[in-house]
Amino acid sequence: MKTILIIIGMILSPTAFSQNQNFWLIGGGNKITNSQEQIEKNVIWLEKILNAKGYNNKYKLYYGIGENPGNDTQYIDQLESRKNELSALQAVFTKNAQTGISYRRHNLTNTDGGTQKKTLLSSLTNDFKSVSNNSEITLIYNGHGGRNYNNETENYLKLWGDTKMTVSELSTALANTPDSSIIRFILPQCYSGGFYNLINPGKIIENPRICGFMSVSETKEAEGCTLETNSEEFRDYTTYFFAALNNADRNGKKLITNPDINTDEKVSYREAHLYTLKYAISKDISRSTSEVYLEKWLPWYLRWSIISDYTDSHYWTIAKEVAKHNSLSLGKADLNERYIEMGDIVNSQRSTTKNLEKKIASHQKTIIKKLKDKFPGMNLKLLRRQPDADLTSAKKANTYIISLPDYKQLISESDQYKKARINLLERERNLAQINKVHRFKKLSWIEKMFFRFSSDKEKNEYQALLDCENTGSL
Amino acid sequence: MRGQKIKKYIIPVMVVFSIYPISAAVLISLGWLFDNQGLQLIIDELTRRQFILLFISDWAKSLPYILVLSCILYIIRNKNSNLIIKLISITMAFLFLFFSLVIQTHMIAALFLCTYIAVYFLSQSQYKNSK
Repeated sequence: MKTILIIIGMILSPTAFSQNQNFWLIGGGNKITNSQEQIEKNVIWLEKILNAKGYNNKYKLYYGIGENPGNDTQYIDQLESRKNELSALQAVFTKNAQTGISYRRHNLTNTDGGTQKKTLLSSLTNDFKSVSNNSEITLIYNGHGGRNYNNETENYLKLWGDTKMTVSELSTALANTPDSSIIRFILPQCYSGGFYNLINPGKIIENPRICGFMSVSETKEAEGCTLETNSEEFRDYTTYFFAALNNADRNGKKLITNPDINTDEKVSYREAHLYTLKYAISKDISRSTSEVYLEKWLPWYLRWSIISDYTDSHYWTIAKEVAKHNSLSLGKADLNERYIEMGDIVNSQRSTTKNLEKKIASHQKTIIKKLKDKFPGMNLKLLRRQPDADLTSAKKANTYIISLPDYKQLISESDQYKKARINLLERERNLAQINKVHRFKKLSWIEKMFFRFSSDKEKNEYQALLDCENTGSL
Repeated sequence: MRGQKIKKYIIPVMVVFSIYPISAAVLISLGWLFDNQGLQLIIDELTRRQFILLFISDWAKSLPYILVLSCILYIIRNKNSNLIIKLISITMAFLFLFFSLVIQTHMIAALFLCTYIAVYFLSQSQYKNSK
């Protein structure tokens, strides 16, 4: 009954378009060697969507080095790969012998600044202070996330200059917004689940209202942030979420299914999130603040219960659809069998890649030792810092490395490693689909329990989060 | 004499403290039998540290229930209890069971079973000691 009321509420709720919508796009890696082109491509695409929707002057963009001179984007130069005159040196000095890596400046025009923590925090604080009353704020991050192993509620955004912005630091900056505003965050980075605490649990129905969407739990790494150049292969949370909001993917292709569940001709953030859950074939098990709220509510005496089927919950529908798309059964025994089977495959694939990593590192160590005897002081980092340096000695070193038998083995293992990584990712994606079915079966059951046993205050808090997620849209 | 008194109180306290972990152990084995996906996912998503903290927090929350349940079961089993108090205790025990069945909470059912067994053995040993 409550679920039906929520769905009716979604249908009757006023459309979310507001003239007072403001967006903050924050993107880029934390250092040049960890600032993949995919992040930049995502930010460029989001800018395009916002401009097309008429929000040209309604967003602030903070990216990498901002307007400062220099390079802040890493990419694979496919033409130069392996043919690069210093590729052997690169294979020896880079992690897992990756070759063809090049660096350039971002292609974004008119950023509002860089993302170094100090400057970004002060910019955000000033921006939020100047937000007018009754504004809707959407914070979209595209970059890397870090995990605080001692306290995951203090996970952080990895910002330029290898700086960190923790959950509480971002929360303090957001506190500068007017009480009448609504804040929504979309965080696709690793360990983003830790940012659930931005909603100030215990103060949910107080102002300003905060809700959001996160790609993974506080302990898991997210999909994306690879050096993949083919945008058809991007499967991060941003890719699916904004394709749903835009009703077309980044290449302009219409989506197979309409994400607009309540057919009000507007795709809300929650609808985009539900679309992502149903159709994303990625390793992310994304979550919204209302879903995490339900999970955190689960009392001690229910935690160990064996989940029953609650087929009238909308979470059950998601479980059913994910199972259908991935040829999975909803039955406990079948699903569990697949989970164990796929878990074993993932574990064996992980150990294969780890062994290859060790072998690659060992070959690199041997080659570096030989290289240092012949070319003392040869270092790729040194060359990166001095782009105009004389390359004669480096080229000689490169030729010398190619002549070593260890190098042939290194390249062969590097190729095997690349294949193993792709294989592992595919298996992790398959395992994630099984876990998604588990999770949504569990959520459908928790939601039923919640409406039966929670207090009025808890019901209001859950509803506030749902309203906040449902009313946000582009 | 003093040692016996300490033993008299320490053993029941230790038993009360051990009921939740024993119930969890029982449920883990049952969970494997019934493919408990909910529990499996909790373990999968949490780190070992987080899971231990969650377990300890749940353990602490369960203690008042175990204490109340122990008293109820002790009164039911005690031959010298007042009839009215005994009837109230039986009703409360019935409500406990009913509650666990209604919300399908296997933990409460396991706690009930383990507490009953604990109270049974404690009262048996007390009876032997008094003889």
